Amino acid sequence: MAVAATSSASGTTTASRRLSIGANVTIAIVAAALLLVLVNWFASIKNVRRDIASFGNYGLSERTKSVLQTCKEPIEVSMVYMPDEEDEKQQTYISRLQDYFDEMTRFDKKVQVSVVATDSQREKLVSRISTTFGSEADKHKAALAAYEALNSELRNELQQKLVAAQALMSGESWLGAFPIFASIVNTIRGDIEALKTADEAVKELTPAGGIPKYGEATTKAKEALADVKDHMQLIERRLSDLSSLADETTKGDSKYIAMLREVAAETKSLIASLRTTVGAEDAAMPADPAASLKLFADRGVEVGKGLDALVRRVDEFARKFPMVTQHPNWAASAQMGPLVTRMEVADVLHQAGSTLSKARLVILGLIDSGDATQLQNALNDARNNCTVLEKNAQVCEELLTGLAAGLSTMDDASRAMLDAARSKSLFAARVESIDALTKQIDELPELKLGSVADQLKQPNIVVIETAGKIRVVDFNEVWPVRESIADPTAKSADAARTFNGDSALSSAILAMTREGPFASVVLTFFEPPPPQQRNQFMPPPPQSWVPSSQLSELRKRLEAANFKVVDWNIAQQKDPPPPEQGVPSVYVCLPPPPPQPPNPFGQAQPPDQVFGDSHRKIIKDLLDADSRVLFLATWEVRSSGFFGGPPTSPPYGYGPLLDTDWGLTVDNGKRITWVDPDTTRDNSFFIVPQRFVHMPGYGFTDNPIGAPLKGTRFLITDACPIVVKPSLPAGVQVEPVLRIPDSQNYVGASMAELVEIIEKVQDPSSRGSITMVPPPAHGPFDVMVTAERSADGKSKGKIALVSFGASVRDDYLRQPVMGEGQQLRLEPPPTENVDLFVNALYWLTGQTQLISRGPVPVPRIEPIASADLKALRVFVWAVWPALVFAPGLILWYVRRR
Amino acid sequence: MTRNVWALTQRELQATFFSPIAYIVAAVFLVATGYLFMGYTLKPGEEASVRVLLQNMAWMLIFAVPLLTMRSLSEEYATGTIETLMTAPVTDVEVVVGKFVGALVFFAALLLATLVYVLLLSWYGAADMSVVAWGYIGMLLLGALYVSVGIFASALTRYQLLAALVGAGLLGVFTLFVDALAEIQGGAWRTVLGYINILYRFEDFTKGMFDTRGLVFFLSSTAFFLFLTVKVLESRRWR
Repeated sequence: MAVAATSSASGTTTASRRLSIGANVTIAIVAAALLLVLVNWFASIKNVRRDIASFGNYGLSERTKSVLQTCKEPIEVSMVYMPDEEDEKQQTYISRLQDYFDEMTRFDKKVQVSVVATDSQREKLVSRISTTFGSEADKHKAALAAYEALNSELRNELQQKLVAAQALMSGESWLGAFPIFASIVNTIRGDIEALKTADEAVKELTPAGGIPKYGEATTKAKEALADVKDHMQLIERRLSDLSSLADETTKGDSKYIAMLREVAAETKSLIASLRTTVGAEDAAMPADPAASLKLFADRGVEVGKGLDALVRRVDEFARKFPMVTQHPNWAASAQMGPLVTRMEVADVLHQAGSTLSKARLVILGLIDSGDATQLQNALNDARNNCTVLEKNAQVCEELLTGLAAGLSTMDDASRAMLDAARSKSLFAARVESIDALTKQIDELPELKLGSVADQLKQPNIVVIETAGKIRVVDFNEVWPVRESIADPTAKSADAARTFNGDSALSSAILAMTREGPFASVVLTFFEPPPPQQRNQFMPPPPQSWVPSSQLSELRKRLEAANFKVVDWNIAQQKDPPPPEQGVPSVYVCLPPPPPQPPNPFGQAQPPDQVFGDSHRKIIKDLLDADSRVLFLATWEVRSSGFFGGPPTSPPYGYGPLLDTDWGLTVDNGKRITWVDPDTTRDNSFFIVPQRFVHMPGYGFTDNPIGAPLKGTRFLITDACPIVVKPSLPAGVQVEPVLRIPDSQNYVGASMAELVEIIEKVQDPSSRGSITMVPPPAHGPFDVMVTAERSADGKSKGKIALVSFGASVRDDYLRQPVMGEGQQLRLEPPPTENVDLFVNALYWLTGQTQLISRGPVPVPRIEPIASADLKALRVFVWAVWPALVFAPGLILWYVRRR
Repeated sequence: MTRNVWALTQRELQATFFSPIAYIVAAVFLVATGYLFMGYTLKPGEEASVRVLLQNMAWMLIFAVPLLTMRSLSEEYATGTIETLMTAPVTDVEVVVGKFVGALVFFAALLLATLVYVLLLSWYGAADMSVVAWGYIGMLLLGALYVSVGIFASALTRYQLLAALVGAGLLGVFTLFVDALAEIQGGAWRTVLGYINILYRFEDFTKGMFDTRGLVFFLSSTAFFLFLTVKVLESRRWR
């Protein structure tokens, strides 16, 4: 018992000891776990994070950090990149961007990133954006609701008018007789259809689901209403004119109706009097045909005069009431050879009179000749002509009496419609409603949603919402094409791209959160107004190689980057646009057009306004007053004479100013062109068509304007060298931004050399290889420089000079780039050019801290020969693992023995 | 203590290097990493970086490390040598640390074998060596955590295969599972799960981002699993 009792006690003790130790262990583990959490929590609060990579590829740039720190509002980012398991590149794009956003959210908790990876998530995003930013469109919605109601009313009203008009057309009404009334009916019918179509279009633009395009919808509505209003006013004007005619012709004592009847009668009587002179067609030939003919000729002149008098009376009627000419009885069908044409009654009469007057001389000539046969024949002809004239007189009589009858008889329906038109009450109420709604639409505020609706449909976008604004950053901004293509046979989608998310996204946030514009960009151009009168053989005056109308893409991108763009035509306005308070101005001078070659026939033509010293002085004065100017120069080609002639490059308009004041010469007689050297022959090269238009612009210096673009593709066109004078004017400092290197791939060809090159390219025997002795000049060529000027310790202006100004034209920035290689491949248009301009504007305004760093030029794997690649595979996959495995195998063998 | 740990480490290393399984694992690991290196890293035009290679290696090691560590304590249990070890004049902590250091040294040797890729990379592209070095430091820290988890799993059972499965399972939870869960849940979950996602923490090292949070995470987590292992070993005395 005792033993049993002891054993039991011992068991209890062991159990309680186990429990106690177990509890201790549990507490220790829980404590350790808590400690683990605590340590990590503390580490997350007081952490140090540094990018130790020498190129800083994965971290945020200092600019981005500054942008985020300055921003007070929360930033909501939606990354809309749909995963595609089969597309390796897409996975790379997604993970790289996610990495970047991780950095962003780690740096600043204001940034909230959501990944939109499925269609349903995308729909949710669209719906949310629509709700958030759609609520600001209340005024638009109200305007569109008003439009819908007005559209419906207009259609009903027009439908009623159409029915009434059609009834007039079908019966023998006063109005229905006028063909112009048929066109009025057609206009009404067309307007009903147009309103229906516009209504459908507006509904399509403002769907219940998705993002409504209120801006576009209201514009569409406004355009539709404007058309209808124009037509209504035109119809009223036409009917009002007809009404005046009707007032005159339907009164009982209308002098014009009487006139028409008199003319009808007199015409017939005049022609009948002519017949008496020659007799009937079948009458016997008189003994003295000459006497009859003489009588005919003399009488003909009188009849002609009489007819002309009648014509004048008819014309007077037509002048007073032009609408009468629209009446079908105002004109007759006439056979003119094989053609049937309409001739007005007055013309028929005038032609008859004129014929008779001219016939007199012919007849008198015949009488003088005394030839009996000819006289007999002439008499027969006169008789025949009389018959024709009688017929015409008959037709005129019928027409004029019909016209008089038609015009003087008015029906009630026509009268009612004409009265309404005359009193402007036909469409007055509707026109008033249209005007009111148009005014309402004009006063609508600009929508923040803007063009987001369309952009949201694109693949691979980032949507940023902050400060009550929304912005879509597209794929090409985040992933621009890299400067070199690794695989020339790659397809379009495989074009090598580089990550530019840091610059693109921070620029977007910066533009959205900045209160005012960074600067006012004054696009300065020389476009004289067209002369009042211009000789039809005189060609239009020459346009600038970079006309202001070709800069809409540049404007759009500058505005998106938060610059204000203002136009200044120095041909019409001598003073610059007034600067905005607190906003620096930068003048962007477009290349002025050259004067037109002298016109050998244009002595009487007033000379066109030509760009000259007075215009250069305007810019010089601005610079002397410490302004900032970006000069766009370019290589250009023009005909040397009025009739063409050999091509020539006119001197750059601002050349003398830059040469004298800044020591910079724009050598636009040379075009810098990319060539591929022909290694088999001396002084020989090939022209690469793609690179002739899209020349890679390698050679950015460390200047802050161009340095960020080192890692991206940069394509330019029509570049010419800028020559920096060895001795610069006092106080001027010049720094190159883009220096095309001294390479076999770049030549600066003069116009004569270019012509020679083109001729040789076209020669089939050359097989594309062009030999030139001496060869065209090689680089280095400066194509973009900056210059600063100071005097007495004060700044006296800052300029940037670009010699490839044509590279920002719309047609260049919108044209996809043809990829090289065997397969047809299109790459995105070279919009990176605009980034350089934006950077230059930041530099000019002294805001270099806003210049983005651009894509980081990370080191890349060099090309590997396929034989080397095979050998490497064998080594890495087999040899190296075998070498590591071998000791194990030996060991196993030794131990077995 | 150091002498005891060193003695145990030597014993562990001897056992490992005399075991053909280590060489088999190493060879298979190198074939796999070699394939990934040639397929995803040494590609003309791609960024000259070991980032993708290290990330792929981290993924593979989820399964490879438990295979290496599965025998560390399980074998002792199975063969009964654990009793000898427990009665020897060494503490449980020394045993665990000795096993851990032994496995980590082998892991480091395995990593050393992959430096041949770095040589090739620097031959064909000017890779940033500071990023490469930081990546390898991260790899070592990641390996330490994986090894500690593997040893912990090995301490739980006498069956080596089960230990490998438990180890891979645990690592799978803190890598692949939380990653997938974060992707599915998104939003705040993504952030929360990111704190315990080993691979996510490791990414900073591959990118060349020095972050004290990552360092603390790997060191503290490794210490925690080693602590758990010690507690498991201790429990043999009072269970």
